[in-house]
Amino acid sequence: MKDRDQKQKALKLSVANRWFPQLEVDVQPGRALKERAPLVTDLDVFSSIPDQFKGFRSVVFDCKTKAKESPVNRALWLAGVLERLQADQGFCILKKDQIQLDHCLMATRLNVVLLTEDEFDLYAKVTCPRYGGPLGNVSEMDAWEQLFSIPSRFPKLDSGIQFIRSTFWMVDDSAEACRRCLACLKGLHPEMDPSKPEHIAVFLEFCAVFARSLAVVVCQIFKSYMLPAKQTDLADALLVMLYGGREAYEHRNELFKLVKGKGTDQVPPDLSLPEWDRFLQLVRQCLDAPFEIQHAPLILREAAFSALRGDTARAFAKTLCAESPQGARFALLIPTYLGRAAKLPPEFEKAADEILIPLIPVK
Amino acid sequence: MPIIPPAITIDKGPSRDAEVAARCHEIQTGLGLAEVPEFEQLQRVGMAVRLALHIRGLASVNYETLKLVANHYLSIPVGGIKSILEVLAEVEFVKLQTEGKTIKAVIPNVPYYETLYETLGTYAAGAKFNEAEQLSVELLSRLSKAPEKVDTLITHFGVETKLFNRAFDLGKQGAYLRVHRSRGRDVALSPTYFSENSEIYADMVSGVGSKQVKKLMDALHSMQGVPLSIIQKQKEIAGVKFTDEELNLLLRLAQDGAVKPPSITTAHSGEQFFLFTPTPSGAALAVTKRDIYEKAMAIVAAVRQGQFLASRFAIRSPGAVLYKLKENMKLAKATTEASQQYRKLVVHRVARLVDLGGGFSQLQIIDTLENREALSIAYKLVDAGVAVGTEVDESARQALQQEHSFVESLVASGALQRRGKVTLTHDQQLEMETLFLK
Repeated sequence: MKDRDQKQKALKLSVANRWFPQLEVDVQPGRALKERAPLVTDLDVFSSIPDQFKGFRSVVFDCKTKAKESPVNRALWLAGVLERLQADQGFCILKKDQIQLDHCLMATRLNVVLLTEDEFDLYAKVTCPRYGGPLGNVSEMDAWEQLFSIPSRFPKLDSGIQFIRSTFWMVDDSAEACRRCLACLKGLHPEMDPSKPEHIAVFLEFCAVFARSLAVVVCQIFKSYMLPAKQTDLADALLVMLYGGREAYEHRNELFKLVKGKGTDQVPPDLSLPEWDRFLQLVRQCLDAPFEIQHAPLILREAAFSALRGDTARAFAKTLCAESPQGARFALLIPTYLGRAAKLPPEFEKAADEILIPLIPVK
Repeated sequence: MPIIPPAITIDKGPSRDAEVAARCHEIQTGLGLAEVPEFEQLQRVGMAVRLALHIRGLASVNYETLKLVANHYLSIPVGGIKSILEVLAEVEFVKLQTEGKTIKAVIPNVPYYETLYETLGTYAAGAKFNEAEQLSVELLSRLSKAPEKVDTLITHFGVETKLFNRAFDLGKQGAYLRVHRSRGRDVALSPTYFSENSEIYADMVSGVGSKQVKKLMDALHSMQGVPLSIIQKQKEIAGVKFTDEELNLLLRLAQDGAVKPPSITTAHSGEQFFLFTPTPSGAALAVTKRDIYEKAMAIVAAVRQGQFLASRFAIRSPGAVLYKLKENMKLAKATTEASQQYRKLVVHRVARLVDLGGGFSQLQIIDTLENREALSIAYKLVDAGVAVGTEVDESARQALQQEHSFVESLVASGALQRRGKVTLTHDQQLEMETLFLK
């Protein structure tokens, strides 16, 4: 893995700030002509910052170890990446002794912070006192390498890992990301074996990214409807969001009913997510503390990595849960929904409960 | 094509199962800590509803704190808490953090909307109530709609008089049933729904029968807060026509205060009475919510005044006005009618009237949690005919979120909860003595 130390620092800064980091995101071109479009680039670290208004803001870390790299050129490149990913802020960490001040100023105007390796440490220590403390499994490069090596042992899970590290992040609309997350996990369900810790980790990883997109949906619902008084109000709002607007939903629903109703006399049910009532209840629960669910993805990812590395103490996960008891509760409820909706063996839900329930803080 | 997702029945009214759970909750609330030997499942279901309602939406609750609060505020005996939590865990309303067999914390996942009552109602159906439990639930179910003559009830249910009398004895002790003797007849009613002036209802049922009383109640339910004078003039409520006799009945109810009419006096329409059904949430109305409910009725009355009896500018959609008020905490336009129409709200400290000169006043809600809640209840009263959220005791919820040591001191300072016991009937005592003699 290239630029390992710099990535490690970016991970640590993210986790210390309680941002949700994703290592090595492959950027896809979006609208492509070819079935397997060549990748545009890859991002070293892509972190999501909890935000009351947007759900999450995002920040891209670009790590460069070549001494000849031009800082200002990297800044210009990163500005383009920020636009493609609708990200808010970029960090460029360079292996240099010094960067031209004027170049730094120009980069700042493009929402990019240009820093040398030493300056990055200074930035992190000054802005986040927790940077030097214990930061759990998510901030460890080893853990990420273990996650990315899962397909070498379980090739059938490759599409799942690809989804988590790339496809998920390419979907602009969070409600669509929720749906696709569920679809991808459902596609994997025949391969998932609850007796293998790697599979439990993949399941919890799916829960983490699902929570990431659900948090944005919850934020949008809260801002538009506050706490919907009726179940039908909530259901209508969610269907419209999940299927990209009323017309798109109606069109899909008609097709769905046509296919579903073929060969039977019964009226097929309307199109909705699997375990729809459970999904509605999950969203409604999250509306009890609509911004706390933004902490659930990091809790779930730390739980996933602890399963992967056999860390049964889970000290850092407990710290995260103590900081956000409601976030911890939502982190516990998400695997229950996702496991059932994706038709995974019930042992997955049980395994998630066994990991997550002891993390819940007791006053 | 409307977007209606599958498997949602909320707008079709509560299902049979949901109603059973709601009645169990009311019976249990009435009985409090009293133990009834015949009630095996009913009290468990009632306590489960009560506990679920109070922990809904909380992050996690220390089990020791939960035991204290449940006993002190919710009248759930300490010994029964574990089995109630087992019920809630079985229906997936909670997850339990345990160490060996010891429960450490309870993590709520209590559903919203009708699902809470429906799920626990389905559990109750599976738990198979005995005859005494079924009878009590059915009785309360019928009497929540209108009082009835005891003879009619006995004929309807067709059960032994002994069993029937016992159900009434329990109901009386639990304060969810009452019998009035009027015009030589026994009339049964549920004081949880017909709490005030129950003797008037009893008298009316003896006189004209329960059907007419029920018709009036149903009509009022469909349009809470309708002005009495409008009913008298139009002789109908929401399409339901009334005979003169029925109108007189309604007038009598209003005059005797049985349907709690708040009144508003304006220069242009004089004193007006606004009619509500008796307390919509029954026994489950938490003590802390009574004031808020009265505020809500005052708000509805003020809006209905503007809808039916405006001097110049009538309110076309009372629901929309209340929704706006709920969202913006003030009315967008100042009117000359506001000062008279909304004066009662100033008295109840719900709102203030800001004088904008020229006789124009603007209504501004005083932004407190209670007033926000009253607005929300008012909106639901107009929108759905029922008050929602009045069954939760906020002090219990607050206590559940405190540190355990704090709750201990809180509970210690209050009066000790005493457990009551409903005594066995004469026949039951005989049976028990015989059993021990064998």
